[in-house]
Amino acid sequence: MLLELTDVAKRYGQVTALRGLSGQIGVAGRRIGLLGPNGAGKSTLLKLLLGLTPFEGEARVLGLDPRRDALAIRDRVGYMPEMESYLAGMTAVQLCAYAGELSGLPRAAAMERAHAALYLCGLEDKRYLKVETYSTGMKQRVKLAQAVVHDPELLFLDEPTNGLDPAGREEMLALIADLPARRGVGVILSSHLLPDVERVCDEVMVLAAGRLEFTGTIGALRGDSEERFAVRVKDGLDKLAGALAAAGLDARRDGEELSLLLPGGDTDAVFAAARAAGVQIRHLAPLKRSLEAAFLEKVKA
Amino acid sequence: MTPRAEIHDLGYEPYRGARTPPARRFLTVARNVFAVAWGSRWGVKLPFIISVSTFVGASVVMYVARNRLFDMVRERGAPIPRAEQIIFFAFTYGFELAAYVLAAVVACAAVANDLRLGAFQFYFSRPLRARDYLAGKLLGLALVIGVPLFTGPVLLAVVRVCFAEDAAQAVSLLPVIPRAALLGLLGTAAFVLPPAALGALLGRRQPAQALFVVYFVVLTNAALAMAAVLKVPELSLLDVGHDVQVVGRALFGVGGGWPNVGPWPAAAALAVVCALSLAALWWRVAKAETSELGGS
Repeated sequence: MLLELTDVAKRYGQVTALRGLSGQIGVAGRRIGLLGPNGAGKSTLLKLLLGLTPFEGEARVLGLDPRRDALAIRDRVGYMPEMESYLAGMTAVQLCAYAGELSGLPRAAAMERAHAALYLCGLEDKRYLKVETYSTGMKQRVKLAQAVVHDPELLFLDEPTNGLDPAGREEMLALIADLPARRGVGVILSSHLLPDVERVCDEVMVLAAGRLEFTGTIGALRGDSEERFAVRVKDGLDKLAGALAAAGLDARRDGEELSLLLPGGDTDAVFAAARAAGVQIRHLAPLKRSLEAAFLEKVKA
Repeated sequence: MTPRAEIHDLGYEPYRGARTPPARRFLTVARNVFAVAWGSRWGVKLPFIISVSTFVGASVVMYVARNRLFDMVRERGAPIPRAEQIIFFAFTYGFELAAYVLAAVVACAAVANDLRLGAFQFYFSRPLRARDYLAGKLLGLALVIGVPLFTGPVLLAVVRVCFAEDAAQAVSLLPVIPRAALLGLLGTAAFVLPPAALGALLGRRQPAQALFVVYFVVLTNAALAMAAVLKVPELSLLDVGHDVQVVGRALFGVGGGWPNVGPWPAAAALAVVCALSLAALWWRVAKAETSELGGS
C-alpha cells in the first residue's frame, strides 16, 4: 500500500482545503491518478504527504507518518513539480547529481545515477547543456530525471505532460507507465488531463472541493460491468424496451440506446425479445462510460 | 558443446548503500554555491585577480616598510604606517573592493535566483530543512566572499610574521593573525548577509543588485557627508563598510577615519544590520518551505 488516509483534514484559517479524507491507496496497482478540478486540494494533499504542512487526522506514506518522519518520507519519495524548477547556471547532469546528493547519495553514486536518470528520460545527448537553454519538453524530462535520481520508492508527478507536443506527451506517458516495471517505483500522477490518467494509471483518487469523492480502479470509476449492456436498434427502441420489460429485464432508455442489465451477461434473452418485438439489433456490447463522464458525475455529486 | 555468446541484461540496481545524514546536507548546498560562483565569468574571476594583486602588492609594501629607515622617519612624526598596519589598508582599499563586486554578483543572486526559478520546490521536496538550506547558502557565500575578505588579511598577517627579523619579533607579531581573522570575519558577515537578504526580499537578482549598488555608492556616501555637515558622527553608522573599517582601525591601531564613533558602536551597528538581515532571510526561506511547493 502506498498511502493510507484516515479523516485527514486541512484548514487555512476559515477556509477548509481538505475534509475527512479516508482511504487506502495503491492496493490494486502502483500507478495512481490524482484527479480533481483546480482548487480541489491536490497540491495541498501532496504538501501534506511530504510533511510540509500540518494537518488533522492520520496519514501514512509508505508506512511513515508525515508529521514525525517528514525527512525519511522525502528520502523515499521523488517529486516532479508542475512549475518550472531548476537552478541557475547548472547543466542537466550537474542538477541531477546535486539532487541526488541532497537526497543523501554519496557524490560518486549521485553522479553515476544522474547519468542513468538522464538516459532513462531520453536526455543523454543534451545532458551537458545548461537547463535554462532547454525547450519546454526537455525541461519536463529533466524534472522527471531529478525526481528519480535518488531511487525513490514513490513518485509524485504534478502535471507531467504540461507544455508537451503530442509526440512528447506520448513519450512522457510511455516513460511514466513503464516506471513501476523498470524502477520498481509507485507513481502518483496528479493531472487534470483525463486521457493521460486513463492511459497510465491503474487506480484513481478523485478530489473535489476538498473531499475524496472516489478511490478505486478506473473501471470501477467508470462503472464498468460485465452485466450492463448497451443496445441500439434500427427502428423501434421503445418496442424493444417493452419486450425486454415483459421478459423481466431492467432496460432504461438512454438517448438513442437502451442501457440493459443482463445477469450473467446472457444475451440470448435480448435476441428473443427483439425477435418478439420485430426489431433489428444494430449494436449490442458491454456498456462503458467515458472516464470524463464518470469524473464529472463524481465532481458534481 | 559449441561455445555460445550471451547478452546478459544486468538491469538497473537501485542504490542500497548508506545515505548521508540530513544534518550534513547543508555542506552540499554550500559546496554548490561555491562551485556555481566559481564557474561564473568575470563576476568572480575579476575579484580574484584584485585579491591576488592586493596580496602581492601589500606583501611587497610590508617587506619594504620593515626597513629601519622608515622607523627613524616615523619616530620623527611622519605619518608612515607600520608594516602590520598595511594589512588594514590592503583590507580597506583592495580586499573590500573585491568583496563588494562578489557581494553584488554572487550574494544578491544566491536566494533571489532560487525564488525566481522555482528552486525552492527542488530543495524542499527533498530531505532538506529550511535551516539546512539557509546554513548552506550562507556558508557557501562566506566561502566565496571570505576568499578576499578573510583569507586575504589572514595570509598577509602570516606573511608579516614571516618577515620578522628574529624569533622574538615574530612572537610579538603573532596577535596580528587573530586581529586580521576577526576583521575578516566581520567584513565577511557585512558583505554576505545584507546583500543576500536584499535578494531574498526582492525576489529578483537585478533589482537587488541595483539597490545594493545604490546603497554602497550613493546612500553610504550621503550618510558620511551628512554626518560631516550636521556634525552628527552617528549617521556614519548607516554605512556598513565604514563600520567594519572603524573596527579595523581600532584592531590595527590606525588613527583617523572621521567620522569615527569608536569600535563598540560600530560593532553594535554591524551586529544589528546582520541580525536584521538574518531574520529577513529566515522569514523568507521558512515561508517558501511551506508555500512554494505545488501548482494550480
